[in-house]
Amino acid sequence: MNAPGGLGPGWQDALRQDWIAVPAREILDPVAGYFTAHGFNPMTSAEGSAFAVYARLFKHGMSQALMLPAAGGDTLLHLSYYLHRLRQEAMQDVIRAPWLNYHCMRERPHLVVLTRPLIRHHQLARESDLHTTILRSSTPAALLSAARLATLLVGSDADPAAALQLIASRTRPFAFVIDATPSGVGEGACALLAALAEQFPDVPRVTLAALGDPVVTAGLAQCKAAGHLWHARLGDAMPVNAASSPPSQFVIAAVADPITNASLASAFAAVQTLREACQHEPAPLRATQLPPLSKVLNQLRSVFVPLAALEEQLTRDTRPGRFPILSLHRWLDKTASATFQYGVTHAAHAAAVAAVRLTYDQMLIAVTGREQALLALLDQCCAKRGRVGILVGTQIEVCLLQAVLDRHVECSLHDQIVLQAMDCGRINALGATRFQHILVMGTLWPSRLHWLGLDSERMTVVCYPFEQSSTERQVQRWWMQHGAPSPAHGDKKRFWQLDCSEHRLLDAAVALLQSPPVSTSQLAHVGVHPKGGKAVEILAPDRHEDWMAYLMAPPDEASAETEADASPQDPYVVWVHTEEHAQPIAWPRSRTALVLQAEEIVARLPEQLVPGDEIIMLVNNEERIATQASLFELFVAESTGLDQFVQIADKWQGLIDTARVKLKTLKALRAKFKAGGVDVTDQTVRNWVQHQVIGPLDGKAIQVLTQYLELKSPDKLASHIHRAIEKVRAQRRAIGRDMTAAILERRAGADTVSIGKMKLNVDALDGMVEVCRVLQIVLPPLVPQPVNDTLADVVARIMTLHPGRLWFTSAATRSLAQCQFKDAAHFGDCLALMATQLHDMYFQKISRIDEVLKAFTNKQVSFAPKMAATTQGRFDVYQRLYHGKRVDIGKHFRLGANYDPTRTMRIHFHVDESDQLVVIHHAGVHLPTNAD
Amino acid sequence: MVGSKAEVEEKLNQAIHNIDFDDPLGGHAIVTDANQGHHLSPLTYRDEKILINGTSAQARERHERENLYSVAILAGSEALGLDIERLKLALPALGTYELHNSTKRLPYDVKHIPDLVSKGLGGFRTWLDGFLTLRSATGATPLMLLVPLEGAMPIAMMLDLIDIAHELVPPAGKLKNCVRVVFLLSPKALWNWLRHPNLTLEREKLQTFIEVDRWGKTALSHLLSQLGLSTGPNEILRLMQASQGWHFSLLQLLQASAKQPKARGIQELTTFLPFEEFKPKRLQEFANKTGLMDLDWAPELLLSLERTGRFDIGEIEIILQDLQEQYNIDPTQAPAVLRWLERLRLVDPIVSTRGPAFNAPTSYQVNPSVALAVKDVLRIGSTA
Repeated sequence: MNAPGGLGPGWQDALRQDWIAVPAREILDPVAGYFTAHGFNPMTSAEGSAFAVYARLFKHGMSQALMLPAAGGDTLLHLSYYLHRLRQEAMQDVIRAPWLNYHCMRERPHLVVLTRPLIRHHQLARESDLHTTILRSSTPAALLSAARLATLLVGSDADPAAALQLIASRTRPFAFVIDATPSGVGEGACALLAALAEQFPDVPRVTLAALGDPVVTAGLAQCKAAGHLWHARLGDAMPVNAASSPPSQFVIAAVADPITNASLASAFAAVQTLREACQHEPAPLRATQLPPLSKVLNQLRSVFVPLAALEEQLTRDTRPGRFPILSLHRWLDKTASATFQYGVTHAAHAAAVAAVRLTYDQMLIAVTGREQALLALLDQCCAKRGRVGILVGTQIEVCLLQAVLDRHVECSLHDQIVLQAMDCGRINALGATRFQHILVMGTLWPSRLHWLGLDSERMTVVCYPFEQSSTERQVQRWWMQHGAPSPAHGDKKRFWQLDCSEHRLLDAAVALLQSPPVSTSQLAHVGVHPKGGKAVEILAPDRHEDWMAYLMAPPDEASAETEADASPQDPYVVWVHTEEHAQPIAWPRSRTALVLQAEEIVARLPEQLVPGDEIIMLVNNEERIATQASLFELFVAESTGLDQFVQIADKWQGLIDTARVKLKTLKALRAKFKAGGVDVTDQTVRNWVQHQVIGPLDGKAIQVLTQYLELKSPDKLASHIHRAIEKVRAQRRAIGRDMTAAILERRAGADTVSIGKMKLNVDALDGMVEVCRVLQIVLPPLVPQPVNDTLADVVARIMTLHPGRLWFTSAATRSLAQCQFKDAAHFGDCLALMATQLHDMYFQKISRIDEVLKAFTNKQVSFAPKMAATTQGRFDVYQRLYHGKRVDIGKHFRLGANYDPTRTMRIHFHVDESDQLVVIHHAGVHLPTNAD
Repeated sequence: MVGSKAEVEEKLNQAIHNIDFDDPLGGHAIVTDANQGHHLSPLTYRDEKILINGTSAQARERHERENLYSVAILAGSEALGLDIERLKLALPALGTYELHNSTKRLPYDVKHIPDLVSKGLGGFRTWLDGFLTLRSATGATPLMLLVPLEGAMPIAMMLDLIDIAHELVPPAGKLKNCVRVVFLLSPKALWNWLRHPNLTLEREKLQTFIEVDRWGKTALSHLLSQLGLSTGPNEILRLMQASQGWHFSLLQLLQASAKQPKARGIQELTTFLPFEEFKPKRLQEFANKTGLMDLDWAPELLLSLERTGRFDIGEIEIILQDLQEQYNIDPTQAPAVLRWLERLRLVDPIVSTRGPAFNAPTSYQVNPSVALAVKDVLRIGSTA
């Protein structure tokens, strides 16, 4: 393809012609299957071309950022492997280039990868040639010697400066890989790159990012330290040995469902009005009041299962923390009580809440068109017998969808349907095979857009009519940047001709050839609405001209109070002290740990552990103590095929959970099994419910459940699950055997051990698993101790908890000593609020008095700003001396309203500006009043 | 010694300078063929040594395996002797001056790759691989493979070719006899190389890179004695002034000597002319062969520099500023331009005989023969 004007071949042809000059090209060839032979995903042709070009720049010590489609999977492994290979060739003098040459590489054996180490370690450790280790200050020096090549994973979340310091002091890097994919450091990449460029100006930096991840891409374009940019666009037919497959066709499918559509649209319009009205309100108020509402609305807009089922799941998964999970109902309740400073906002808020609540109520009893459409689309896909991917928003939705599949789809077809949560930070397990069809059921926020880069024949984005045009625009815009082919004579060719050593090239241009392959379609599913309901066409008012754009804006994350760590008092946690670790390890009471006993590994509940037991621990896992499942995941799950079996076997756990919820008691569950001809003990059923085993030994038990839950072709599904369980069980046993053997061999001084299909050297084994000797087990009492505090104890506790906020005068201490008030907890609540919210209100001015008083009211404490004038005049107890000044102690809190001194208490105080204290002058019986 | 302090110092420095120049490794191999014809090698013995063994520092550091395979780059112009056909005749003798090391070595078999551009990288690889496979099976004669790099070739392709040659390094012990891959950088290719310093500067240190030079006094003395001519100091000086050490001119000497085999000194050779007496056509030919005509801005630049007399990099930059409107040349490339002129020996560094000799030269002048040629090609010789 010679271009006019004597420009010579385009970049793809040039690459094809000169492929022979690419070093170590045999591993880049997707067809040669270098990686598949080792049990990994094959190198994709997009990766192959990008790495080949980078090799050219790398030789000369240049940096580049590579945006690759769906850069999740094994891309990082491929890149690390290739870079090590290039270094090795330089060490053998096969490459002699300014950076890649024997003299330079001899001194630099380390590839430093900045990523989320815990997630990536398992992935990279599978390739033993990479010698992957997580770099810590405690990493043994032997692993970092100059004679030994190593891939060092460094995390930078906690303290980037410390991470850099660690790199500078412990490593000698020949290249930095910055993993800016969603499973890596993401947006944090730019700051890291700049710091690396400053501290290690010579060492090339190669950044890996997901194609079309707008935030990261924009950041990298701004960041000079990232070097050149390379976008492996979907339309770029890859030059080397790739079966040229046409890029995806995108279909934006709108589900008719006029009733849901109308109510969602009007709710969105109402929320948008509120958003505008909120402009006058102070920022903290906006930040706390708007997001919950948007969250509920966005969830309603994308829900594809019965709303009731979603609510049930959310209720079950409810957890507090910085990013809490709550049911939609609770979010709505939370936001309903909001107060605003302006009347306009208040009215808009009321309208918005009402509109969202109306939509919620409607959808709760309806079968939405979206739900119907999903099933219809699934049927269509299954009829074609191709590989289908379904992209949903969160992991919770994946669980719900799995249940839908069990009910509606023939079990033999489950293998070809892959579910993926778009917000999942873990490495995706989608594999590298092209999808025939991908259904996008979640909303495409900017942070999720990179999923559009998945390789498929057809990608259907399901939405409601009111959001169709904005979704279409969104996808079109994305395609114009990341889907359209790159120009033949653009920056890509300049890279290949090394015409880039003086200027930074951003590879931003695309060939303006074709219109985007984005089309729209209508799905006729109207849903089932028992109450009827009206479909009203909502016309957005003029001032909302671009309110549709807001539909595609990323949601603000609703956050709540900060997450509390596991406390030593938590009755559900066991603390395991070991010889090897100074810090005790928290472990759920109900999960078994693996203990090395003689020559086998046995599972034990933590309560059954005794000092001297040797437990197996995972070195680089968030959950430190190994379970059978986690060991299994570490060593076997990657062997292709078994993944599927694990997924299918896991269905048993879902079945037993659902049945348990439906039947309510274990007894009923056992009876159900007995009726089905499966006679089991209570203990067995309990084990099943607590997920202690992979599955029942008797396949009939599965059948009982599939029949009871009325799943599709229950007998077939049951035998399918049973087979999978058998297979997984057998594999787990094999791993257990291998593991024991490996640990014993390691102790005997072996150099290499083999586990499953993996051959590991002992360093790699040490990097994954360690054996620790138990010193002590601390079991917090199961039931929290009844609080038998006296009032003085309460004061002492609050004063130590919130030092420097409250002050008890000697008179107050005297009054407290004589006080007969019995409800110490009630008194404690009041004092705690005084030390926190009240103090904050007075001295940090961050909240208003009515909000603070509301908190007191919630704890059944009322406030009186002053005594009646007559009372105050009559009794001088309301005037006290404090630091030589007369102060008024009329302000008081009232606990109980009874003349019985055991049930009534008054706390009088004054606020001292100079000491910044809430000074308590009286805490005890009711002081005399005019009525006395 | 007699004279003022300064004069004595000058004389002593001159003497040291002369000792430096009396340099046996500065000689060139002269091959005499069956017809008693002489062929001059453009390489000094020192160059040959580097070509065979690599730079000594590298070799020492690596304790390298027996160096049967090497990749080298030769940069220079045809006027300096880099001409495929002549190299084929002169290079077989490579390394024979050290015959005590390898007494039984056969002369090099010199091959070159024709039509490299249309063959592309793939063709080059196949060609080279073919020879290597052959030499691994049978090791009849040592082999020298010449790869001329043309000026029109993009820098990426030049680097790729060199990288491929390195990549094909055969495993130790596999080759039965030496294979030397030698890339020849023509003046235009050399310019392409020099104007990408960030891609190429390091590479010159990492592998053998030889800049062919004009002949020195030692070499001229050897040549005269080989031709049976008188080698007195005056004769050497006369030959040096007449030829300026250019290979181009020495070829003329060979011809003249062949015509007058009985001549005893060079003054008797009537057909051997100094540059001043060249006819315009001959000067034109010389100008073409020095490479100064290969880049459109070079003749004018050289003319301006010649008018300046003694110049340094600052002057080049100023002249390039004037030229940049007319030609595609950027004044910021002045360092590359200077290196190009210097490496093609178009300009001579002015080496101070005073002070430490290792100081890098900072000022230059245009070689007188080149000045004549430039004036001729720009057709101002007659009016000047």
